[in-house]
Order: sequence, then C-alpha cells, then structure tokens
Amino acid sequence: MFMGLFGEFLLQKGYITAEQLRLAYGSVENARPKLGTLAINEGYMTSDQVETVHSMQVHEDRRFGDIATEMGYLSVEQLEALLSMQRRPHAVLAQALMDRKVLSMKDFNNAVEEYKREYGLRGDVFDALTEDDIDVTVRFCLQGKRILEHDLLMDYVSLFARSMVRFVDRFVVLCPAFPEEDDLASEYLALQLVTQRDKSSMLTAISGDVLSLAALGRAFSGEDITALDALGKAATEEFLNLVNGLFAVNMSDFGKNFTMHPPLGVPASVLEGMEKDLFAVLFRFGDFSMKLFVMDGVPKILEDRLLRDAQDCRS
Amino acid sequence: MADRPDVLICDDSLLIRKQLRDILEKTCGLQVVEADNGVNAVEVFRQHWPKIVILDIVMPAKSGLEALKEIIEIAGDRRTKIIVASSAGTEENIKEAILAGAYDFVQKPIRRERIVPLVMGILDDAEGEAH
Repeated sequence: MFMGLFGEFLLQKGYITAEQLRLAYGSVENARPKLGTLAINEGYMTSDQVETVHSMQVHEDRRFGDIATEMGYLSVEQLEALLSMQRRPHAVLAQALMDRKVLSMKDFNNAVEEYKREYGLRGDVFDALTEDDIDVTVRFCLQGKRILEHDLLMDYVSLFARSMVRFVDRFVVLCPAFPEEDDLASEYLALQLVTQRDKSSMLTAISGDVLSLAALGRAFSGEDITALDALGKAATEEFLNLVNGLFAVNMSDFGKNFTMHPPLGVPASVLEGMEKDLFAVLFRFGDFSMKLFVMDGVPKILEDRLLRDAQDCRS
Repeated sequence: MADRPDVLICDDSLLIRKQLRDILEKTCGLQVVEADNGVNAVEVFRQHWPKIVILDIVMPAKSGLEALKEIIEIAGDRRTKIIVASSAGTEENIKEAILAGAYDFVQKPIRRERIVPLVMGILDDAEGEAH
C-alpha cells in the first residue's frame, strides 16, 4: 500500500508523470533493488567497494552479499538490514524508476526526505510505512479524523485495506473522505449488516461509479466484468461479503461473535439521512476509486428500514 | 436414481454460482443444478436428490444452516454429502455445520484446488460403494 501512497506523492510533487508511474508499476514485479545500490545509499559501502565486488562476481558464481561480507565490506547485520530493505515497497519502486531511467537514486532520496518532512514522519513510523504495516498506514492516512476514536471501525478499515491490497490492487491508495466533504452521490451501493451478538449492527457498504465498481469486481473475481451488470453487482457484493467474513473470523479470535446478514445491492438513497453518522473512506486503485462506508451501532429503526428497503429492492 | 445430478450449488451470489458451475460442470464434466437461497435449496433438493450439496451459510429467506438441517432430515439414509461454504469460517460456524451433519466446510473464496478434489473424492467413494 505504501508504494501507491508514495507513487502518488511523486506524481503530485512533479517528480514523475502519470505515465511514468504507470509504467513503473507495471515493471515492479521484475524490479529487484540491487544490494550494491542500497549499500551505497545507506553509507555501508563505497562505490569503489561495490565495483570491486561486481568485478569479482564476473569470475565467481557467488552472491553479492557473500563476497561483500567475506571482504569485510559489510557486517552480517548490515547485510541482513539490506536484504530486509530489498523487499520494501518503496525500494522496489525506486529500482523500477531507476531501471526506467526516470529518477536517479539521489532524486528518489530527496523525494523520500521531502515526504518525511511534509508529513512530519519520525523514523520508526516511516519504517513501519515502508514495511507495509497496513495498520500503521491506515492510521497515518486517517490522521485527524473522527474514525480514529473507534477501535472496531479502525480494525475493520485495516482489514478492508488489506483485502484491497490482496484481492484487488497492490498499489491501492487510501484517502480519507467524509460525506460532508464528498457526498453519497452514487447510483449503487453494495451493503451488508454485520451484527454483534446481543449488540446493535455495524453497517458496511461500498459504492462508486459504475466503471470503478466493475473494475473492483473484475479484479476480485477474475471474471470478464466490464459493466455493473448482474455479475458485476454480484462480484461487488461478494467482495464485501468476503471482507466481512474475514472480519467475523478475526473478531471471533477475540471472543466477539458477529453474524452476517446477506449482502445486498441497493440504491444509494437507502443511506440518505445517515450521513452524519457514517464514516467514509475512499480507496483509489489505478484510474478507479470506491468508497467504503462504515457505521458502528446502527439504530434499530434504521436497521429495520435498511433491511426492508433492501429486501424490496431485491424482490 | 440414475438421473440424480452430481451437485446442487446453493448460494445467493450469482458470481459464486457461476464460478462453481464453471469449475464443476465445464472443467469436471459434472451435472449441476442451482438454488439462490435456503428455501429454494430445500425445494431443489427435494426435486432432484443431488449427490452433493454445496451450501452457503449466509443467505436470504433461509440460512444455509437451517436449510442444511432440513435437507439432512429429508435425505434420511440416502447418500447425500453436504459441503458448507462461507467466508465466515469461524470455529463456531464450522462446529455448528459439522454437528448439524455437514460433511465438510470450505472457506470462501472457494479455491479450485480445494473444491475439485473434495467433490471428486466424494463421487469416487460413492461410485466405489455402489459397486
């Protein structure tokens, strides 16, 4: 998820163009940050030392790390740190951009420092972000928002974000959005009530424009979905159902029992009048975006209305 | 009972029904019937006596677990195996399904590598018993 966030930052700040970012995303699967580049960047090795190791590799079929530690250029701890860095999303993105000669390592480092300054990031928070700690990333993205006070909803949004990364798009970006800033305008909602035993329901819903929801359904299901037809709607609902099922499983590990109602496709008007109690989070993936609405403690009268309206809509 | 379909897929999601049908009918060559809620599941079961039922838990009209209990009662000693499927694979849900008589539980999203050997294994066993 951090790759998406940082990619967007590079774009906003004019370091790269949208086309360059798109091409870099397309090549990250093959981009493997080079240990030598990372070692120089971290100040562990000089460029001459890296060059020496590379020239030895021409004659010996051995790995960079093995030679560098044997030569005393790197300690075992430094090598482990570099190997861990090699897997971090922003290092992979940096390599993809360098491979395409879009940015130099120096420019990329400058962008990283600018990002840290702009968001007032301490080293440990930045490390957690670059390690793709989704809980930290979600809290970072939603800082200053009311939803942070709701532990249950934050757990839910984190799980939803993880599911977006896992099932829809690894470069997904999460942005705060609230109904007062960003109205409910959308023709279609996939909605599901999740009830905690002896407690009131939690409302979960996703909405978006037709093309975005079709893209979500297509990515999630692997089916050839190009419109929000019956199959497209079913895929959107099933994605929500899947996330809620995973949520129920997670919560059951903490002794909290949640029961799911069947997911429903309903008109967006079902949520009218509930704007002030809803929390909304916007997810962007590629050229598409979708909104997640969550609400803890749906009043009984609204719960009944939602289920009745939804049932009418279905029948 | 020579015309019994192999599998009844019961899920309110059109997507899940399509994907399971694609796997079981097109890939495995099985005969498949469908139902889109718990009430219809019981009805289709009564009409067709499928050898296997794949039953979603969270469904409108009648939940999968309620349908499961009714189907078990209707089936009596006829050999029908019921596979319960859900995205909510909590210990409680799995336990309840198995105690109610389900043969197995499958976590959603349903993976081809999980469902095909399970279904084919049941049909092979049934074939073996029949001979």
